[in-house]
Amino acid sequence: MDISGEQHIPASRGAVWQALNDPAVLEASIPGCEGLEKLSDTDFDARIVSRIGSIKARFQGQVSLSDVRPEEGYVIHGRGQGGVAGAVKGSATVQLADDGAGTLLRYTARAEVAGKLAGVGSRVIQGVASKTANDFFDNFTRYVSAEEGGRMPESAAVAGWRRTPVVAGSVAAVLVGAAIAAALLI
Amino acid sequence: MKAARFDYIRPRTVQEVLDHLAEHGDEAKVIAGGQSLVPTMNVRLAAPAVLIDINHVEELSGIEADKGTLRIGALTRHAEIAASETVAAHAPLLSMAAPWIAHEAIRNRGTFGGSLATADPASEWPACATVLDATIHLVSARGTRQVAAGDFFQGVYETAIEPDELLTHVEIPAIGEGYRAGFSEFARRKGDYASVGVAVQGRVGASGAIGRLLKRGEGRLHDLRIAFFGVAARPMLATAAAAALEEQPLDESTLKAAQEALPTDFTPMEDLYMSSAAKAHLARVLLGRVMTTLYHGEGR
Amino acid sequence: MSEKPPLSVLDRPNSYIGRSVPRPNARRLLAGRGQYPTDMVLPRMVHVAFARSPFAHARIRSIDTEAARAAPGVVAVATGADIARLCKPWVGTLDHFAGMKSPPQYPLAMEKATWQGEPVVAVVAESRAEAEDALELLDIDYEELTPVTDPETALDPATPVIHEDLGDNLCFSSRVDAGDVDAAFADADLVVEEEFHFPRHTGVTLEPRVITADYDPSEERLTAYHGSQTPYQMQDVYARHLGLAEENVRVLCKDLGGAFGIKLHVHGEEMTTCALSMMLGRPVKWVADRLESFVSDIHARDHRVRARMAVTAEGRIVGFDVDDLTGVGPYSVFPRTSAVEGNQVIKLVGAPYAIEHYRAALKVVLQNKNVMSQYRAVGHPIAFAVTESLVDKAAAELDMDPVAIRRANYVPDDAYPYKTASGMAYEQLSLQQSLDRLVEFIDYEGLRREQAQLREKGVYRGIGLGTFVEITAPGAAFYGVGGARISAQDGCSMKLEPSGRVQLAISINELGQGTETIVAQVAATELGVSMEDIRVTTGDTGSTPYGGAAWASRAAAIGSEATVRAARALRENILEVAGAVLQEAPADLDIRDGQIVGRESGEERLSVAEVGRVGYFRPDTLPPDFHPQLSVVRHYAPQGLPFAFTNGIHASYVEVDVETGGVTLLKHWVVEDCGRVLNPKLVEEQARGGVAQGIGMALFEECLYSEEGQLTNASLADYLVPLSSELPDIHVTHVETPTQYSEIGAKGAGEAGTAASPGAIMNAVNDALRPLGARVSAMPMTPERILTALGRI
Repeated sequence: MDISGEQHIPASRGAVWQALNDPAVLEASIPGCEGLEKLSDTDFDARIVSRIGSIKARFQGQVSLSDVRPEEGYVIHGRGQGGVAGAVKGSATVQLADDGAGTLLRYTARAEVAGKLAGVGSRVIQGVASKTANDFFDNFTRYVSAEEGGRMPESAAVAGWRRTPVVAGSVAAVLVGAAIAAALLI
Repeated sequence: MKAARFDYIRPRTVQEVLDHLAEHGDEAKVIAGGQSLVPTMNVRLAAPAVLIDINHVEELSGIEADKGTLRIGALTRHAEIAASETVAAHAPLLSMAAPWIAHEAIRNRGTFGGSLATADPASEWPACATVLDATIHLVSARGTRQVAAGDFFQGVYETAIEPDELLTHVEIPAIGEGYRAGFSEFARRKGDYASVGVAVQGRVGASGAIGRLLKRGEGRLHDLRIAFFGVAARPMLATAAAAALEEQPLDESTLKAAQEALPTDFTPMEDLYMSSAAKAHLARVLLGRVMTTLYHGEGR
Repeated sequence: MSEKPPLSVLDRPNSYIGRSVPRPNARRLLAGRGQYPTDMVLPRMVHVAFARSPFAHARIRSIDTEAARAAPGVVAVATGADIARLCKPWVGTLDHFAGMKSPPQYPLAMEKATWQGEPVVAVVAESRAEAEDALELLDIDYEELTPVTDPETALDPATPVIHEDLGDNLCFSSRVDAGDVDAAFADADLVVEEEFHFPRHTGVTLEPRVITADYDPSEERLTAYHGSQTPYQMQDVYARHLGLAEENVRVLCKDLGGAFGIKLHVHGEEMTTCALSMMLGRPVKWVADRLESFVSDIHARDHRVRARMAVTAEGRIVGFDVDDLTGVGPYSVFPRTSAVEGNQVIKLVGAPYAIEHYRAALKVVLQNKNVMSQYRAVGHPIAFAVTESLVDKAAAELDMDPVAIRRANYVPDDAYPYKTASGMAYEQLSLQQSLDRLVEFIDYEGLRREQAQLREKGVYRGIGLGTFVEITAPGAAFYGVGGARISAQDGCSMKLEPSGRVQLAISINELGQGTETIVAQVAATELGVSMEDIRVTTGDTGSTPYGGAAWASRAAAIGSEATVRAARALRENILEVAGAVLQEAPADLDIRDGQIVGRESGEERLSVAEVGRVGYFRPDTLPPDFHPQLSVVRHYAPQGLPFAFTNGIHASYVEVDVETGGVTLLKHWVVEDCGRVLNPKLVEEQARGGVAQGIGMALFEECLYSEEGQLTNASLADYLVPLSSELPDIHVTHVETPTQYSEIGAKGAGEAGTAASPGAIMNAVNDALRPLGARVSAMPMTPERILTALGRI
């Protein structure tokens, strides 16, 4: 299942790129994210609790980056295990372009669910995935805009995390997946 | 397929429910008919620590009409709505939609409030509530608030309800003079989640302030509200399609214009069995059928 | 019964044969007194739940069971290696399928998981809920591997090989080539061809798969309360694979909530449950939940068939050329294999028609999806949908009526015995007679008129015909000759009680299809007592004679023969005693209505109860050295040809909403010839149930797999089985052509409904769509597919 979208962000490309690589911003933007932990320059662990309606699923995810082109974009890959609920994985291509005074962020994500999640949740997955992606970018845009205006999300102060290429548009990938997961219903 | 362990509470009053919700927050789930929640728990995709069973809170049940407003308690069963003359008189759209909800056994148990709070994108009540501009009443230990149906449904299984809130009842403006309702749905099997469905209400009458006696198949359409379901994460008001019909008689060209306006209103999400293109096609077909029936068929 | 007019087909007075007597077990089942394996509760019983692979293809790097073992109520946690120490793997091949390959399969995945849903770890706990709680604490580390999911590319060099030891993903291939197909097609006036798709579906039994295994270490004895169609086969499998003595394994299954071929295969969960009971020395129960059923019960079908048919300008069918590609799971299923389905397709295409030129090729490939194997009407619905669809296509091109082209091409009713181009031997079929009956039964001309009238009003209705020829009641040709330890014969024992009533135990079993009724009808008729006087026991390897049980439409055909022989032997023995008591020649006596009567006079002489009393309690009053033999056993092995072929024809009448692509089934008719009809109502119920499953295949059911090998509609909310609201009235009538190879002459009736209905419905839909130039050749015929065919989307 492919999800794509774009978002105008009232911030410079440099600022957006920085935020896309700021674990704190990402953690604050990813719906249900309870922590991002850097393992290496391109690998991260993510903990996500996804709540959709009565459904609540916890995911342990790994996120990695490839094709990193500063201020232009990257491809982010992610996978997460939700125990007996199954697993999610995905990848997303994120591209940045100047857009007037701001930045246009385009993303194309592909998310897959596995196991029980796939078996009982596929009917509504697209709706959940799209909504999750939208929520991420709404949050992200809000934070980046706020940061431009001088206000940092509180979590950005989280101790000692270097601003490195991290996750990012992560949105997409795993994270979307994770939330999706959440979605199930029978 | 056994649910994870949970505690079970059976309060008798709304106040008790609110106290429990305040205490347990999002670790608790309210259970009414349980037609979605119980299966979700049994497959262990939901594992609330506490179930608050509202089936014995009598003040949450019932259908009343007063001063142009129909009030339906959250605990009212689908079958009660289907059988209610009060509902038929004040919100005939609901009477038309009720038989499409799942199967007899589910209609006997499932509740109006539960269906709205669950917000399945392919279910009937959210679309009806949206068309009827229903007001959804929520209460918590913090107080009460009202949310318009248009703002209530936010995504797949997502609504404006906060974890400590209880949906108590819904208020629906009674259908006005000259207004008619229409409902149509396409599902693979009788009782299945809709592939595509549509709910409509509007007035058919003369355009001027002074109407003349109209025969069926005459008059112009006014104040149309059309909502599709099964096409997006929440019910979609087809405002562009409605605009194409506003102040128009229903004929081949106005109907075509309305059908052609649908892509402005939404691009359907695919589901397991149907592509976006097929759903878009079905939405056009159903719009044509429901409008033709509404315009030429039974009023009210 | 004596006041009722005799309806004998066996020249016995007061015959029950051919009468729609009610089921003796109906009251018990309706009273909720059924004894289904799911109901079984034993002291000290524990429950097992399975962790299943979320991935279609993955290496299992590690399994951490520590937290699960420590969870409340947990009794044991077992991995594939743990179970493999108790249970030998199995290989799903048969000797007569030359070149067939499948690797050893273990109860639980070992190094690799090869389909999404394959059981990986078993957790046993005091309750099922606790077992499921503990599943959440398992930590299984999977390394995902590329899944093989598309049969079309399964053999490409670039596609990973699922089991490296096999060298490739080819499980089996076969060819049939008769006559001169190339010349026939070159000379044909018309060649019609089509590519058909029949995706996977599954059985969806009302009662899921279930077993309670109770191992007694003191006697090394395993008792398995197993929801099985084939208790004797499972007795053999459990004994051999768990290292037990055969006589120490007892498999019981009294009532069964549906089987449809799902419950005769060896699945890992049941084997694991037995092994766990041996490990623990306690009863262990497993009941599949519906989510498990979808990913672990065998799936069915999954064929891509390319077929063409050569026809003369006059509408004479000359030959067929067929290519079937079928994707089975990562293993061929034990012990019947996953090749029989495809093998039947390539034998049965064109089966009703007298043709000389026939070529068919089959490839069975492995893939990373749930295992696939025999399900009701194995291969038949595929073969006849293909055949009948091509026949209708040719008729349309030649402007012939579908009835006329069939009548002109069937193997004529006077041409038997007949051997088909694909090598099947028919004793006697009634294709022409059945067609004539159908034309009258459905008022074909009237229907065509109605169709034409409605079409002028923009209503698109279609009439579709579906002929079938069905393989039933097989002898050893199916499995025994290939080395499988699956019995082709059945046995029946009967015991006269001192009261004059009768205990009957038989190796065919009750799946809900009415075995107990049929057996009691035959036994009562032959013995000369009331049906109410016969108590039937089935489904217990410990107390019934050995046999094949219920599969391949064999129970009534073979079981009735064993029964009639046992009943005759018991009658003769009863008459021996009666003769001794009455000082008359037994040959001059008979039993009618429970009374010993004079054979000619009909005069009542003695009750059967009196024979029981004397035989058991006063043998001293009988002549010296006379030992009453009031218990008997008789077995019956099918005689004559390898299979008892049946035939018939279905008609479907549908309306297609050409705007929505929705199909409404208006009516369905079945003319079936299963030989002697023992109980018309039961045969009709079999036909109707079978048609319902065929409707599922034609319009609703499909296991939707993603490219990654994930089953995406694995619940009853999303997997669409037809409900009562979708089913039309199904009318059934009978033509009777008894087989001469058996005494009663019954053939099989269990699968005919499924065999022909999908093809008939496909023809009806295409008949409705024909004026619009649209055609559908993939099942299920969903609105999406119909709208696409119509060019609306």
